[in-house]
Amino acid sequence: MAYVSIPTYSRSIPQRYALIGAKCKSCHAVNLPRTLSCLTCGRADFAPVKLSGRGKIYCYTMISRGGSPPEFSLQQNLAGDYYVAVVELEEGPKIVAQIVDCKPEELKIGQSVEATFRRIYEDEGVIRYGTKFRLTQT
Amino acid sequence: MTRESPTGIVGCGVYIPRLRIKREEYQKAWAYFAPRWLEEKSVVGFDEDAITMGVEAAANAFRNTKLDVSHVDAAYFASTSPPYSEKQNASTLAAALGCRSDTAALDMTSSAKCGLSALLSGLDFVASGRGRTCLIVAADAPLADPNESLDHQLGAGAAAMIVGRDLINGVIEGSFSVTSESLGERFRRNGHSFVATVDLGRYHEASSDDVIISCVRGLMHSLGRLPKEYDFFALLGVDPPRALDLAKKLGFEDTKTVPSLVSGKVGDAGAASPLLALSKLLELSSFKQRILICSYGPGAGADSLSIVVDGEMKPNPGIGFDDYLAKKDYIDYPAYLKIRRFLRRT
Repeated sequence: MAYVSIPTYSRSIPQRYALIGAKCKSCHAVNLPRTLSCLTCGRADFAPVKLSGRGKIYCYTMISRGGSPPEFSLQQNLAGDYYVAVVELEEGPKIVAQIVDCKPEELKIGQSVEATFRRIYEDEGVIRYGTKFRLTQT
Repeated sequence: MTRESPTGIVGCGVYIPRLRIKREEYQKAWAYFAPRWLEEKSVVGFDEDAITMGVEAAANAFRNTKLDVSHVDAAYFASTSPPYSEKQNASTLAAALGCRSDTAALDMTSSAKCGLSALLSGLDFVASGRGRTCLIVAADAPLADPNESLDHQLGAGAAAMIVGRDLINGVIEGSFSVTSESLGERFRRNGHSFVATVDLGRYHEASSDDVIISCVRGLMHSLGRLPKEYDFFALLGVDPPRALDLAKKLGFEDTKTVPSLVSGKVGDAGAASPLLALSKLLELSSFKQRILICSYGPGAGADSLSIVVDGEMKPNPGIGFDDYLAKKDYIDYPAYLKIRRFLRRT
């Protein structure tokens, strides 16, 4: 299991819960997840920025029985196959997240999506919340 | 009591999860479906709970108003099914919304009436001058033993209200509360997951009728108002047929009560029901219309509130009550058992 300790998870709560990214003060690129130095220019001076949660599907896949990492096997077992995508956010960063509340035929590369706050998994008795995406509603 | 200071409702937002189960699914599994007043109900998704539904409703409330999360001085979270019994759920909600760190957060729980009680407390927070804006979120997905018929009626949903002193669209005329002690009506002991009831039929109905009638009449008496002065009447915490009966007894025509019967659409959404109903009424009401809402908590008491609409509270396209009602995916009964984790307690 890809164990993420509580201190590590807690440090990333603003970015996981509320999509707070790090905007490089030199080149203005937005980094999410936060990195020690800017992925675009390498400098290390950031300002926090709240991202819109809007983006597009860059690529996607379906996870079926046996395909999920252990922390998601309960979800696969009880709620069925689920979809994981690389989402390209409108501010630039690409992140990996589940796509919820959709049918397989609705998934397309380039499809507009929006962020939704969900339970990701549970570990050590603690609920790990975070961001997933759904097809844009409006 | 009547309120002197100008406080009121700025706006509201709702959320109903996408999954639905129809009465026929229960009939196939159990040969009956207990609530005659319900055709289908909403079901909370596997990766959803009262907090995540509440975050959605709150985000919609900000989309529907001119305020943003930086204005929030207090965040109240009301639910009978909070994911944590200890560790404040309102803090998770505030973090997910990006509230300021000097926000006062509080959970309210242990009765289906706590949604409206939280709204009253939020209005007090603002009226007292402690802060200018309060966010009140009621979200619930109550859980009962699937072997008991109480499970059949339980749905899920969330609603959020922003109250304050600025940009008010719903003026509060007054409120009235009644406390009562009644045993076995609906309860969940500490450490248990399932809501339970000791079904005594008419016995419990008689005592709850008294509480509701005195709460509604108490409010109208304190304001010097009559049923004919109200355009909408909402009674939550009892099933829709009883809400209609009691409304009639109190002098409200069916046409004033029917729009608020949200439990007949999504099921019994516990503490979310009163704010879901109020949001729906605020969405469809127009200038100078008057709303009386009463929320009954089984075994606990009731709160009532009188509101005059003073502006538009139409939701943004795609995120109103009826929009969420229309967005749905049906599941069968085995899927329901799995998604609600009845087959595996974790």
